[in-house]
Amino acid sequence: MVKLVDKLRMELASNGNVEIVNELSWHVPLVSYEVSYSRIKRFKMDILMKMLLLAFQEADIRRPAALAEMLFVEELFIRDLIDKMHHTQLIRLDPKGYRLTDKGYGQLEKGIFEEAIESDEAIASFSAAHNRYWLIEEVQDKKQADGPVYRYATEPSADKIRIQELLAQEKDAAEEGYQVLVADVLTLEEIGHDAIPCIEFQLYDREQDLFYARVWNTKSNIWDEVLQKQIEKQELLAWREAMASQESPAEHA
Amino acid sequence: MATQTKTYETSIRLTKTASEKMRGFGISERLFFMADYPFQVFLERYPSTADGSLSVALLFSAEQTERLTDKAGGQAAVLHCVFANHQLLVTNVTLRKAYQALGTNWQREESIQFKNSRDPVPVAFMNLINRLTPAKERSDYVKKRISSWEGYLKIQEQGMDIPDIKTGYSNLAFNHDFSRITLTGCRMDDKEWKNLRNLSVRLTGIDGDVGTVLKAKNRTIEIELNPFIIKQMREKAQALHKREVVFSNFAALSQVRRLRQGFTNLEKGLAVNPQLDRLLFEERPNVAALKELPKLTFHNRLNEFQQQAVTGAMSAEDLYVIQGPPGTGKTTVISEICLQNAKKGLRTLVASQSNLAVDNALGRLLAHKDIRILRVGRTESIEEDGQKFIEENVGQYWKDHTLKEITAQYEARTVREKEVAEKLETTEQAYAELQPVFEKWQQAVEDKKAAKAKQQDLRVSMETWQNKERARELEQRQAVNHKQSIEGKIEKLEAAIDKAQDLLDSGQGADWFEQQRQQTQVSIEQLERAREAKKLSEQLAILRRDMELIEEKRDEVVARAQEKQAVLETVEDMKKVDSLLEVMAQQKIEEMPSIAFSLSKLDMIRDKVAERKKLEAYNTSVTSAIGYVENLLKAAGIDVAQVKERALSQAESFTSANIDEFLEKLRAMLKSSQQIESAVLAKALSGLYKRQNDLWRRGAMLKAADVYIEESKRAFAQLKKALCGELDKQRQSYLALDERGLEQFERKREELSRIERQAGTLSVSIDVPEDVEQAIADRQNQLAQFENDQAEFRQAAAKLEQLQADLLAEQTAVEKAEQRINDVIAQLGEAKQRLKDKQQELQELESILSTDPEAAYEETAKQLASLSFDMESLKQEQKNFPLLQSVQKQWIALLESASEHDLDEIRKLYIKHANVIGTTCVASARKDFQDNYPVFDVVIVDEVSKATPPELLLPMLKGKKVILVGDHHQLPPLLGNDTLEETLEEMIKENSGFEEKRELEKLLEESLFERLYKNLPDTNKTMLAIQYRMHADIMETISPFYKDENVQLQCGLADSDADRDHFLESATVKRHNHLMWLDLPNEPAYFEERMSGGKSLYNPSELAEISRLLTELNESVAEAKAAGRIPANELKTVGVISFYGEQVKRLQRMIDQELRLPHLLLRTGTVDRFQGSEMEIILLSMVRNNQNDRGDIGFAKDYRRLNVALSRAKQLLVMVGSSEMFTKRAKKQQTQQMYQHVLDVAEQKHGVKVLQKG
Repeated sequence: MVKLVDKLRMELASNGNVEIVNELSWHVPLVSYEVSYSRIKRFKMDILMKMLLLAFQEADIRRPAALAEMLFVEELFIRDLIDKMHHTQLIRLDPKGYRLTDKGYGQLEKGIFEEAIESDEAIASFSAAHNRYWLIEEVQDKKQADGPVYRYATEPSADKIRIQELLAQEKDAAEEGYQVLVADVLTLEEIGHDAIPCIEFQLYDREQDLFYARVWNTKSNIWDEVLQKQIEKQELLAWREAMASQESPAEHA
Repeated sequence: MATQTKTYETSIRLTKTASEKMRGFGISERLFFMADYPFQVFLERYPSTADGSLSVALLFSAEQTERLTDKAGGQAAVLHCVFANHQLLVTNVTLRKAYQALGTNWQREESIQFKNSRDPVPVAFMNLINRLTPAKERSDYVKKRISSWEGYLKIQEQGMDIPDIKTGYSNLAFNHDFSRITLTGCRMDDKEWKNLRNLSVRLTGIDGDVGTVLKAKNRTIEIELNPFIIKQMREKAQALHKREVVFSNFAALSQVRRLRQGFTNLEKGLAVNPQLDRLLFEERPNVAALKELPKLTFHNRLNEFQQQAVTGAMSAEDLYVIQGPPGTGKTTVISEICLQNAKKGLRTLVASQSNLAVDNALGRLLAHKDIRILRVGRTESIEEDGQKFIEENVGQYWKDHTLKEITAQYEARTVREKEVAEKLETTEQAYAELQPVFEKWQQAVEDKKAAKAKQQDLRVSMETWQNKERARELEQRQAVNHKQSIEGKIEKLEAAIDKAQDLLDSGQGADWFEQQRQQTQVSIEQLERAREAKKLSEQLAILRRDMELIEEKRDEVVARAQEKQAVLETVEDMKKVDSLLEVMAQQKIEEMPSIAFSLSKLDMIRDKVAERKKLEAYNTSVTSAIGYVENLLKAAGIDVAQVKERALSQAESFTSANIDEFLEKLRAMLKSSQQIESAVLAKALSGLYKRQNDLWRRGAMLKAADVYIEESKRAFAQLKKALCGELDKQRQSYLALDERGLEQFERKREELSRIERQAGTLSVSIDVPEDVEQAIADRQNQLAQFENDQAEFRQAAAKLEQLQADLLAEQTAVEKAEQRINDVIAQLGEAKQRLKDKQQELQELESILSTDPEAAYEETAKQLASLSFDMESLKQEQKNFPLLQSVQKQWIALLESASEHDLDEIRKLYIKHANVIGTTCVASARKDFQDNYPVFDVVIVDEVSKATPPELLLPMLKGKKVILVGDHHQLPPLLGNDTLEETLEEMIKENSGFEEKRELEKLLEESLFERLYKNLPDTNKTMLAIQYRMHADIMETISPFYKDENVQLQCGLADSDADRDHFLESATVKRHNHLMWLDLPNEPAYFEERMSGGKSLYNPSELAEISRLLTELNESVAEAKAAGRIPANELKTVGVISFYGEQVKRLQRMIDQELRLPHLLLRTGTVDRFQGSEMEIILLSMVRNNQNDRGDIGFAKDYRRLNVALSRAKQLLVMVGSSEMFTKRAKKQQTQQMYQHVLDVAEQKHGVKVLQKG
């Protein structure tokens, strides 16, 4: 850790105009959740085609324009698809309208069919300060972190929809014309607390008369933009005032 | 391309070279001629050859070439031909790359079948080629015109030929906000260091361009990062394996290359619109006439100018220009045009100079299912508004949009379903209620019909009675008239009786009448005599006057005779001819022959005498001269006689003048010299002899002097005699005249005495009145009257008896007439009574007839029908509900659960049918774009005035029709971070050896957009003149910039104060303020300052003032929120702008570092960068403030920049700067006035706040 701080300090000092006014270390709290979610397996199928098959099955439709109006879809698209389905013999035209062929019925069935596959579990980690979620491999529970807690930490609880979005993004998969999709979050259980140790530098660029902060996030190993902005927004003016009050007596002396 | 209508058949011959070349390319002549179907060939005319014969190239497309050979490898075969001796001769054959070489505007595609024969080429084919303009002429035209745009490219090419520079670095540091990095420890030579600026930067290990070099100084390099790369940089930059950087010019170079390609394509005739070059370069673009369109239905709400612009743009065939001042809704117009195009199945390209402008335009297009927008370009440089339209996102965009619409429909229908049911019920009820009303009206209509029939009957019977009434009335009138006429007769009879009686009673008997008549006759006779006497006395007076005249005439004649006698006597004594001549003149005596003879004889004698005298004088002179000369010659011993003999041997004649001259010469000669040669003297003497001899000869021809005197006397006596004879003749004629006068006199005297006698017999006994004639006439009338009266008197008794009998008869007639009248009156009374009864009946009907049940009946029928229709359609709708709801429900479910993969097909369809494509001007020339979208029906270029002509050309090349949207009163193109002029200024300062400075300055003056806008006919342009952005007060500041346009800029806000209320109330800014000028003194404490070693300016006192103002604004927003004027979660948008980059930098730093303004959403930027943006509040820091003599206000002097600066604010514009500097010190009068106007408006709106010193 000390080595890291030295390295960071070196990096910052490479700009000769910058001086480190203050240096702090603290941690950002993290909460871990165990999430169980349901999954389905579905045939990859163009949804407009599926809709057209459904509509032809349900009603007598002859004019693409009527469908276009009903579905609020460009007539061009519908014509294109009807031509294609006609060509591949999924549908045929009889005097009352378009009808599904046996092949068409088969295809539609395949398209509609959703197979529920066994549900799965994952562990999600949530940083309220960043309003961010990650999937992590194993539970971490270190209630006793070094140093103080981040001074602008908040404690909102996790959002199920956000977690589902995260799961969809990470766990949706495709195979051989089929896709496996996350359908729903079944349970959400808080299982542990963790923390990200951070190192904060308060900096002053004398040449440009600029105050700014740099926060090293030891989890992502980058300068953390979110935390830096939060701190700057709250404290920048105070730092400037503090320096002014420090310097003016010095000038008198 | 024209459709192929016919195939030309032509013979063709090959030269030996051509044949060989053909064989070389593997083309068999046999295939060429034996082909059983024609070739599609592009004809391109060459300039005529030196001997003037036609020359043409036949280009075969790659496919056509393949018919001839498989060796060409996708290239196009070209036959180079000339026409010789009516034959088409191929002189050479080559292969050419097919890409962009075929189908240019300078070529023509035809279908041709070739024959191997010696037949002449058909005339039609020759004519076809003759009509083509040689391709070279067209390209030369373009080349010549486009060369004026070269300057733009030259500027951008400045110092571009730099090879990539690759070097290591030792350290990489971010600046405070990760927007820049600084590299140190690079190893390059000095030249490379100098060239770094503006190069793009790549770092090994980072994907994509990192940014561009901002500064390279003191062996450190500052690099501005591309926004899209920052995240990657933060994550990776500190942990790169290899510290290596590459500086390159590739991006900029490829941009210029594309611009240049645009030039070439125009030259080659590859513009989609074949007239594009003419439209761009002709002084007055010759646009095609507008199409007639049916009235358009608009989908956006458009004002009159916007409607005009859209209609114009849709009707124009090739070019339309829209001038859009700030806030006038350009994007709305573009959106509407795109939609109109989409509805017509047309594909539109929306291009603009910058990615941001393209995204802005697309982002504001109406979301409509007929519009399929596709944003093409480098994904990373596309802004948020455009992201949803890039290829990979359109599926999602389509899904979101469709889902939104369909859900709205679905939900609306759930509501609607209930509504329909309710409506159906109420409609049915209303129908039921209306039915009896309808029936009632129906009955009323029936009743009215019956009443009408009865009315008709009544009217018919009334008419007969009315006729009767009229007949009786007429009869009555006639009877009354008859009676009246009889009464008149009676009256006249009675008067006649009275008169006759009176006459008989008057007592003037027959004797009285006779006496009166005689008296009158006597008086007439007397008067006639008096008239005769008067006539005679007048005749006497005339005679007496005549006699007096004759006496006078006689006296005169006698006097003349006496005068002639006296003259005769004087003539007898006259001695001189002149006296006689004088008498002749006085007495007017004509020159009788005898007189004329005597006179001419006298003249002749006088002439002879004169000549004789003259000859004698000459003889004396010549003789004395002879004597003198003879003596001289004798003294010299010369024989004079010999001389004389020789001289006289020949007679000569001389004029008097000759003799005078000769003597004069001789005299002069003798006088001038002492010694004269004797030969000369002898010659002179000989001359003298000759002349003497001539004189003598002439003298011999005249008579002696006394003879002439005698002759003269005789002639004079003859003349006198003749004259006296004439005078006596005159005297005799006067005497004869006197005799005749006496005779006349005697005749008159005799007549006089005769008339005197006649008059003596007439005597008159009465007084003669003045007018005798009238008196006679009066007496005669009197006489006639007496005779008449006398006759009447004689008849009167008989007449009286007759009159009395007549009177009795007439009185009986009157009684009868009265009886008749009474009868008629009785009949008339009856008729009137009948009519009155009928009228009564009619009036009773009227109350039924006056009602109007038809209207109500029809109205009710209509209502009933409409209700019935409503019921039917509602029932129909109700019937459709289940299907619609079920289909849409399924559709919604499908859409909601759709994954990326499910949308794949849709995405492909969307891209295939995309009809609004957005990209930047330069990107529109990228190869892949060109391949995917070679042609657009319509190209719309937005923010045209910000693009350079070479940039504009690229999208324009692709459009059948081009619509340009811009505003030349806003800023011209930016090159990099600077305007063209700033770049130029810098180039000139850097003394980069750029020669065409003048050429470049010319570029500044002309804007393509401005020229087109000014020169196009009104049908092809519109200015959008209603702005919706600014409060009217703010707009007033920019109005003068548009005053020369056809229409004036107007404010479209219904109530500026309400619509643009900023809701703020502070010490400086009051609620009513919308335009303010915080006026700083023009004093050193407030002056501008220059960066040490830099060129940009800043102004510390303005910074301080803006800091104070921002704090105040922030607080007043807080106060407005507390008072509920502004919603609590809203931020006031504030733009802080300046003419100077350095000031902007300092403003940004100040805002970041020194201020905390949680209620404001702040943006800073240069005026130039703010073009196209708007903010609720704008603070403009004007920076310039000095007392230099030059009065330089730098970039602020450009009215276009001021226009942009003033027109960004919606609610409040605050200018911070010295008004004295801008309105009084500015160098140019025009600039001063421009700012004075702004100050005046601010003053007028009570917005000027003068800052106190100190």
